Amino acid sequence: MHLEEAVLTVSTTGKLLLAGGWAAAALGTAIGLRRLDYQRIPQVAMLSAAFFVASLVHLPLGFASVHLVLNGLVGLVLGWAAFPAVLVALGLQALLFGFGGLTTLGINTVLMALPAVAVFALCNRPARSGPEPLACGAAFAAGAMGILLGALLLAGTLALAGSALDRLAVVVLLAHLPVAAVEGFVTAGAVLFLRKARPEVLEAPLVPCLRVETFDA
Amino acid sequence: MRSAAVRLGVVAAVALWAGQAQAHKLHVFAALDGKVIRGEAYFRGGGAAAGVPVQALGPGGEPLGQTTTDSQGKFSLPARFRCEHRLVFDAGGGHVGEYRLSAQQLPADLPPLSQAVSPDGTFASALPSATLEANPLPAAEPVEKEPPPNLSSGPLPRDPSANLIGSIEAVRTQMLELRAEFDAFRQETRLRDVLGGVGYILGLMGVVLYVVNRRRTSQS
Repeated sequence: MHLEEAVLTVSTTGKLLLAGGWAAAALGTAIGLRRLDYQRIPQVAMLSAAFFVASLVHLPLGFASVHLVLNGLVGLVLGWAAFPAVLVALGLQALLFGFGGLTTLGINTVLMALPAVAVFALCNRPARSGPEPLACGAAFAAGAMGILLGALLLAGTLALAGSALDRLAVVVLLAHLPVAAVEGFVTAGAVLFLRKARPEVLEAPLVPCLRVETFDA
Repeated sequence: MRSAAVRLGVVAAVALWAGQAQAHKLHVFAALDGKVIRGEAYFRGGGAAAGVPVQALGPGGEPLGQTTTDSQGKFSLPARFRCEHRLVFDAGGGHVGEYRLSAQQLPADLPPLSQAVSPDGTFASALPSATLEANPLPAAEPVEKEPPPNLSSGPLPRDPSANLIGSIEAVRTQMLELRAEFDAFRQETRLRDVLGGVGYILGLMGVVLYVVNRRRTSQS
């Protein structure tokens, strides 16, 4: 899901997208940090670490290469704080693994953290306090949506930058379908575990985030 | 804190397992073997990139030929002109790779690009994959391999230059392999990268906690 550096730098639209990505990532990170509760900092770090490592879990699919992203789980637990968590993890992935790159760090952060925030808004409440089957479904949807929304954004970005138009959006989306299913199961498993073992992990972010969100809306 | 410990354990287990899993940045390597460009494409972390289209472009973007990588991510392309070759790989979804071979690396007896034989200046077609399977990169111990037939089977066992050419050939093959291996080694994702990254995140968390805590205590 990471955009490589060479893909966007060739066209003017691509450069604009890079700049816009940085601006949006900075904005999201600022919002996330402002809403970050002191007690949740270790959680953010933990999920950031999980996100950082998950990208190495690779699913071979012909010549397309997809890997776990876990942005659904990160969003479900962290809400807006997914932005700083994803930014840090992606920065380290770019530096240590060479995924994406430092110029595309901004847009990559948006591609993965924006779906995470959407997932939080849609799925956190049922996953946290719904009955178990509903929570399970909501968590599965969260994991799958994190990937699919990210893939949609990626396809849109590539289309705007005009790269490889012939086999673009459909291939990107199709390649992400299996990983979306896997992410759904992983997220559902994680949420079921958290509901039983540490329910406050799912509830904690709701206090600062939901309050502000209701007022914003 | 127990679940945090459990999660950290899960992360560590995944990290250990993922040390061998492949990641997804497309990495490419190519070198000349006589008049044939041989190379391979792999995803950073070690997995071969199979079935990836490879296009050879001249210095001005002229198409010089194309092929696809085989199941091991390897490919070979005949070099017909002595000019800069830009090998472009596109595995789709924004995974692209590029490798440049300068004109100096190509054999001097090849014609320059301006003397393009075919009217459109392109190669006829890519090598069939069967040829690729039959001619992989040279095997691990090139020293024990037979020297090229024109050197070993010819009636020149006492000609010192033949021996010399044979050993130069062997050294050259070994060097190419070393280059490919070194390149792959440099790109490999290693456990220390994973642990280093997780360490950075934990360290960052410590810094943030420290700063926030100091602000809180100074406020109260």
